Amino acid sequence: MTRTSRADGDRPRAVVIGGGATGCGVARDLVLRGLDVTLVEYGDLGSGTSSRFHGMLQSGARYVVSDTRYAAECMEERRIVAGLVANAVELSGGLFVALDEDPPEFADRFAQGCRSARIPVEELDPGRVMSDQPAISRRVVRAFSVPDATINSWRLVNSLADDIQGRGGLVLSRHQVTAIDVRGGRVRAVIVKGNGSERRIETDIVVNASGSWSARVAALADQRVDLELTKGAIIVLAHRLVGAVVNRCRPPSSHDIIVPTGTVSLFGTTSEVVEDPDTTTVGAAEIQVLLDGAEPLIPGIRQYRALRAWAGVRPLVKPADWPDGTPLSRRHQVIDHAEDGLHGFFTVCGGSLTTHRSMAEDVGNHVCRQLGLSRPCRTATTPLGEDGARDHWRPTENYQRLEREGRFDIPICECEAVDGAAISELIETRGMKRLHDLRRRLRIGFGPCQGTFCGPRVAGLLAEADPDFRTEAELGRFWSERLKGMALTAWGEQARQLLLSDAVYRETLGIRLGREILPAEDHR
Amino acid sequence: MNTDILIFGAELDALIAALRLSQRGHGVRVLAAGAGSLHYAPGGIHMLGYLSEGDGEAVSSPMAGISALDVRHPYRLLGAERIESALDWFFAAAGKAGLKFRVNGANVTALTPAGLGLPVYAPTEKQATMEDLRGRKVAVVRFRGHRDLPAGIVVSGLSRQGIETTLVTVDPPGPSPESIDMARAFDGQADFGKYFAGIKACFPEGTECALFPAVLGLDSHNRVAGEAEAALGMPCLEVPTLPPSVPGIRLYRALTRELERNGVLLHLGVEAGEIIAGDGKCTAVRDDMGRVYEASAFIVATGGVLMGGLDVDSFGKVRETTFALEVFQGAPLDAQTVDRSLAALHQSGVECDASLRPVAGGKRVHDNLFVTGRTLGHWNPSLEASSEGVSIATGWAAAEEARIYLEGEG
Repeated sequence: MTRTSRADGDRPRAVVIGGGATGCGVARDLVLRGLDVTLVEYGDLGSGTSSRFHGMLQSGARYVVSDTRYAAECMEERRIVAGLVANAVELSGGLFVALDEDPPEFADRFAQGCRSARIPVEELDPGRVMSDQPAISRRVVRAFSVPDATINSWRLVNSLADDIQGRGGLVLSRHQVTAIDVRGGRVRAVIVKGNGSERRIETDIVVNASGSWSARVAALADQRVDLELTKGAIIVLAHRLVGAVVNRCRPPSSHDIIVPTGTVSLFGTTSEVVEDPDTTTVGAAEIQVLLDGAEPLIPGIRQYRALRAWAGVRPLVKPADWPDGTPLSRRHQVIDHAEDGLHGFFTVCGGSLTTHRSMAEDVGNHVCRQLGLSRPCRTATTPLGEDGARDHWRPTENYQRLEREGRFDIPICECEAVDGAAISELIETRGMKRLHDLRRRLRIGFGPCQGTFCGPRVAGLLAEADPDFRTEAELGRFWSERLKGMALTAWGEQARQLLLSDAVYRETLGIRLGREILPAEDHR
Repeated sequence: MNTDILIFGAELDALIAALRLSQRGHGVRVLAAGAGSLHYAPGGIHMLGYLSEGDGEAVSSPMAGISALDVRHPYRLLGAERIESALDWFFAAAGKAGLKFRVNGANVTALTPAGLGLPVYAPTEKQATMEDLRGRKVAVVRFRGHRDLPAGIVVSGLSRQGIETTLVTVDPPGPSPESIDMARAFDGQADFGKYFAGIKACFPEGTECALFPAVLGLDSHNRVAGEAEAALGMPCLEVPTLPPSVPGIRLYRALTRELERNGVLLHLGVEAGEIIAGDGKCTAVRDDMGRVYEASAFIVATGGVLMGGLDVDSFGKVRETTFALEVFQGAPLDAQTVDRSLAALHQSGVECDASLRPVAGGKRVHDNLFVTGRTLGHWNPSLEASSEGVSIATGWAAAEEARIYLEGEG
């Protein structure tokens, strides 16, 4: 244990690298323990893996057979997080359904596992489940309900970021860490670039919470982090096809889960080991694998309208004692690089969005131990401040609010019922200048038209607020990113939608489609 | 139910073929599932604007540019002479229907609702082009609550071009600020002089040109635009809006009015069910309600993938939906090369010979069946900015081929 050499009375300084759920969670944990915290994020908050997953706040039931301890951690965290950010969470509930083709003994092991992990589980009458969920297979032989939920991850990270800033922390999004100064076996400073300039942030502690990018960030401090990166692809289907998260009740595998969220349903996922954390494009073959895999659970899935597809990269850690050949654990790990001769540098990896808070607690404990501080974690018991911005994301809420305010404007985004006032307010109060940033807050561009109509309308509002708005670059970029996801699922009605979008952007607006493929950052 | 010609679709090419054949005295029936993509069209006649993606140069003379296209492109199938005849006929017929276009034989640069330029062969009389606006002090009129002209990017686009532009917000002409409702409100009033004079009061000193969203009247556009110019004392030009697009709808309505006058039967909301054919000829079509329509010649103008004339399944296979005709299939879609994927989707379509008769394995399928517009393969309306040009040329040519066929049978 080493004390940092700083004047007594000063608050220890920490830089957290990574603005996903983990990084925001860690920054909040450290702020609440009295540290002077700066969070640095390369893109927009929550634009990496935190927004490229199936959107579940897990009960842990998915892991009860493979890893009961992790499953129990999920359940505990699922309760805490749902209480902290209620406005980001939808308590949709989860179902595990065994089909006649699934291994029959698994269902009993599953139910037993849930009880061991203290996850409330109830066996349901399969006939009842099939009549409640008309989109799913008629071949359900066992069914269980568990308290799965879904979460709007942008709402989560934005609420965390607001809380961090409200408590005196600094959040730098769209800033890149270019170097870490590590003289004398200790971190000294982090060099960041953003807004066209470079600055040096002196610090005592650096927490590398950059998820799939952890190895790259660690390398800046000459440290090594070994991860297994796996890419998971997801198809977005129009409408909520199911009333609850529906899982196959079988050993966890690819393409076995459908998650209703917002106005859509997500079906996933695949799992493919990749080298590059920026690998987020989905191939045509992967779509076929997903559709074939979905057919037993959602018969006739090829006839449904699919809006787009995308992928995220999971940063998994392989514990030393993990048996070969079994699916990798979702457990997290905190690496104290003091063991490799570098004090003040920590990496947190693995885990999941559901457990981001307990991961952050673990990091906070490590940091405080090294600093010789005895300050308990307060994240589970300190409420988050209300998010001040009107980043409503449920269409029903939007309509309720408009009705309350007696305003009956025609929405700018019809798919997600977003009105002009909500957009203008974010532009004015948050200084937002980019379509993608507004999209993550408001869900514009997420619905069936994929930004065909709201894209140019919102660009008009942005251009009025910002004389330097570059229409061709900004709108072209936004549209190309929408196209990248849409092109993968262009069949049936959505193929027509894709060409309508093409007709509007190119034949009406005059946007040209360049050959350049845009940064992966804004893919989803 | 017997007519000489049965046309499927309500696309521009369908209306062109119907008008041409009905002018020649043939009985024509049009069956369409919906009202067609003119409702999305910005209104000008785009013939050929670009030959390649990205930063490729705009084409200045479409007729000269055609020789650079793929030999299977519909323009190349038809050849310059037929294209020119089709356009000459179209502009004459449009004039007779009360539609005014500006034709100079070369492309001009239309102003788009994104404030960008787009090559257009014949803008409508009041459609704003960069050439019209350059050197003038412009006021962009925005109707309060109107969503479908992103005025902010029009202003910033014009300003970047060095055109002095001011944004002026005024009340809409009627209770609703939707494009089509405003166009109808302008139609419905006998005298809007006072309304336009009120708008003029909001203009900055020295304004030389007023730029309106393209909602200045639906069926009475010429009168409304005239009133606006008289009251404001300056040119009043229009910039197209997002769909539904009033200038495209004006064209649709003017053409269908002509068709009615010529006795053409236009049935919307009808889908073809079954084709009755034999001996290398189609004889009749049964619709989805079981009604049978006999005809001597058939034209498929169903609007390709965009309008449902072609269908793509989840394996990426493209089908022609009316006659199950053989389709040229572009490459499968791929997120890494979106531009090429889109191109492949556009290029997919029915393969035809120079008479626009579909071919399968190098041979004609039916002697009395013709295909036009977006249902044809080997062209890309979005990349080329060529939608209306190809529709007019192929619609006209299919009508000519059908006429020649009928006379031969006659």
